[in-house]
Amino acid sequence: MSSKEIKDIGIVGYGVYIPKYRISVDEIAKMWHDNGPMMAKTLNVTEKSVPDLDEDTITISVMAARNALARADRGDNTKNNELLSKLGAIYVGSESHPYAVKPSAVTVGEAIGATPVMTAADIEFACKAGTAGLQNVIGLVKSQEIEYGLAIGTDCAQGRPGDQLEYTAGAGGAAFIMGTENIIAKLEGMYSFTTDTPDFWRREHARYPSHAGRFTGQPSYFRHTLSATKGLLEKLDLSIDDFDRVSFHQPNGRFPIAAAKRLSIPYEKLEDSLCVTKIGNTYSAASMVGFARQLDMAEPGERILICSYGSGAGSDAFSFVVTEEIISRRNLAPVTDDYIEDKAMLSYAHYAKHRGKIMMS
Amino acid sequence: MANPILDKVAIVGYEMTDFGDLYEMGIADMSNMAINGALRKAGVDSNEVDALYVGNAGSGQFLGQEHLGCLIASESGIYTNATSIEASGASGTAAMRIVTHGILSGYMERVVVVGVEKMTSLNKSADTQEALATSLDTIWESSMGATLPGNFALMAKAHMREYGTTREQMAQVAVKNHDHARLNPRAQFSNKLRIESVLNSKVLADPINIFEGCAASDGAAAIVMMAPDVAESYDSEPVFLRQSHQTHDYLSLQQRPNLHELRSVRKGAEMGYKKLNITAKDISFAEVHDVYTIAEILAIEALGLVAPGEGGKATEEGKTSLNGEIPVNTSGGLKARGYPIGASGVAQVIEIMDQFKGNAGERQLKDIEWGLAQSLGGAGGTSVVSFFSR
Amino acid sequence: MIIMTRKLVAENWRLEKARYALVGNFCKKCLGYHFPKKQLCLRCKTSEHLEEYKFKHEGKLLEWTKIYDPAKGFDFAGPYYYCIVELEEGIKITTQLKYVTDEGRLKYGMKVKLVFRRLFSHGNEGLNTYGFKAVPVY
Repeated sequence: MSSKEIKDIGIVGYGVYIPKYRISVDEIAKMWHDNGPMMAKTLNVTEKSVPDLDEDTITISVMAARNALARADRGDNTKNNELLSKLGAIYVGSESHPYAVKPSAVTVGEAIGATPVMTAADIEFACKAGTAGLQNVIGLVKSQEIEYGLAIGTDCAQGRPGDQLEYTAGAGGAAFIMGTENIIAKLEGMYSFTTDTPDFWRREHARYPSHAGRFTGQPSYFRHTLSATKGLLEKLDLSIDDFDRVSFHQPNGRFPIAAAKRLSIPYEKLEDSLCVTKIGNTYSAASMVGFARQLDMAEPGERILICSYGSGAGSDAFSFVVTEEIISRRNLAPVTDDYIEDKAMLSYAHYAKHRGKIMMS
Repeated sequence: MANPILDKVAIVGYEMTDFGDLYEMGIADMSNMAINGALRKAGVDSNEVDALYVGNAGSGQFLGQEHLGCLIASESGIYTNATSIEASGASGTAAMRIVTHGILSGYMERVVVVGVEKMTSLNKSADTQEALATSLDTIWESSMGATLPGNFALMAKAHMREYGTTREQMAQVAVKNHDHARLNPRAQFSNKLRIESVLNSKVLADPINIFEGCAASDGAAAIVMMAPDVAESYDSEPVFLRQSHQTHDYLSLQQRPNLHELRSVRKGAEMGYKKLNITAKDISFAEVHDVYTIAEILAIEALGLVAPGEGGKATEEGKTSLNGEIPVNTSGGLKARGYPIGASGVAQVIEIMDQFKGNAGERQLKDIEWGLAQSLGGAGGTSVVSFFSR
Repeated sequence: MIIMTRKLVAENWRLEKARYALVGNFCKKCLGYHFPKKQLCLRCKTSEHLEEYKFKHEGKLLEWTKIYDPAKGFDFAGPYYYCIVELEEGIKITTQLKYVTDEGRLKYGMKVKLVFRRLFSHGNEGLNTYGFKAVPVY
């Protein structure tokens, strides 16, 4: 590895994938004799995405990674192999890996053709596993151990039937390829805030996660999100007004809006990231999908804040500045809205089948 | 068979079990009945048998039993060399065909061929389907969700698109074969089938319904084959196997250039006609591999019995019925006589024997010269086409 | 008693590159494509001119059928569409066809793209196997 000085690190490719199926909050509410419109309003979520019978976080990761690659190779297929040969790390962050033991990341590596000279691991940190992977990749690229690295945040979230979480637990994924050349968005810095705050968990072999109700709010989501964001601003000597766009973790449609309000961020700067209202909470993917949608819409020169939140608990905040490259690159793969708008609705019965709630044996 | 005029193999004795649910008999029991029945009819002592060939498609799948040659020979009291031949649905006729090598080379004189299958062993129809699907490409077809009816459905769709063949024409194959089976006391199904029943039955894979396919079936069928000079002392008017051609197409459908014809069957038929210096017009009747209704339509076209694309129409017009121009599957076919896979090819030969010997009862044909048997492995990857005459 | 090919771990491993990334080969001598990859070119009878080739994930739909009586292990997904796709390079593959909401819109020769899906899994404790399936492009 040459030890030339690295000028910039940033995103060289990004891609999302959201399954086609949706169930409406209203449909779930009907099942439990709940008030659907009221629930939708309370959560600020109307529908959530549901994986197909043959989809899981591995298939979603591969689809998102392929989209990221399509942007990274700048529309030139011949560059693909060269880029893949230099792709030195893949981290898949999720709390719903199909295997307890057997990495998702290796299947992604094999499917996109990045194996075998690379490192890989699955990461778990509730809803911020994706950004934790992103940090790992950034570290490796910055230290010049690798030229390119791929970080994916993905989940096929499970909510216990009848639980509040069932209304929001969605499915999706976002993939980011980090590198030093032909950057779409340049990394300015990152900052994390982490404590032991048990607001949400799932024990080994447990089918559904448990949570601590209102405790998931103030001491958990808000404390960590606000602290990480403020810490980043301080670290980079920036004010919140310096940012044109933001994406927070989106466990429902209200928390990120409340967080933005408390940071005096105008709603308009957050709005484009709020995918949760239409696809639900995609957990490890949520802040990253929101960030990807901001990239879909951003102009060159705009500064974007992304701040994840993972229960347990921690937040990772990043600042990126969009480059001219975004113009030619964003249409090399489907944009986030292509997936959000391409949907098919499910009844609760079919949803139950899709989510493995019907036992065949 | 190098010399089509001189080279021929006689079929002397033959016997088959009933086809259907033979729960009280194992695979060796059924074989024993057919083998010794055929030997008795031929008047051959088991000590005189030079070899036993077993045609079987799936005993490893259905019963977890391989090494059938040894099992069946010893359980049938035949203490000579015995070998099992597997070629999916064509196993029985493939075994018969191999015997011609031994007899025509002068190496063997009296050989027994038994086709046998025991399919009612599995608890679930999905398991039976899984066993049948091993005749496809298990990696690139079956593991992608293919089923045997699924593959024939693709062929049916291609035929419908290419030639305008209708669902009704296909259903008529099943109706006709049930009508024939009603005249065959050995048939598995003797019920009258109405075209509406076929069209309204459960869909297996669009456009193939369950009444267009075969049920799981047990059964065995055996023939005794001899060199012509040897046969003279057993039967003054033997029936001869005159030509038999085993041909292939790609195992998996996706590799074939098109799906609206059975290239393997056509190739085998053309080779036979050429060697015998006859044409399809000379064929008096045929037993074909109607594993699904579309398969009979594809077969009669590939054999040249009807023009390409005319199979459905010919069936609808009754040309292939018992009293039609070219009776097809007078036994009831695989559909109604029954389809114990490995046994069915030999059972086709037995129907041809019954017709030539005047033992076909109510379904007896008159003035017959050439009989033809065609069997298929899998979805047409293997074909055996055999020609018989007095 | 039935040995299910798709349960065989080592076999599935051997097929990963083909199923995941459509890796086959191309013979520089006869200019023919092979999928799945061949150890020797079927025409040239040698490996000398073979190079690895990744097929594009696009093609056209040829025949299709809706399977109502699913293959064992696919019962949860039934009924499903099963089809033959001709890839851009002329190689044909068989696979499932997803998202057929209106069969009337399927046309012989229409464009399809291949997506990455779980092909099958073996209960709660067995392996998952992944690979390609087709989606119509209207």
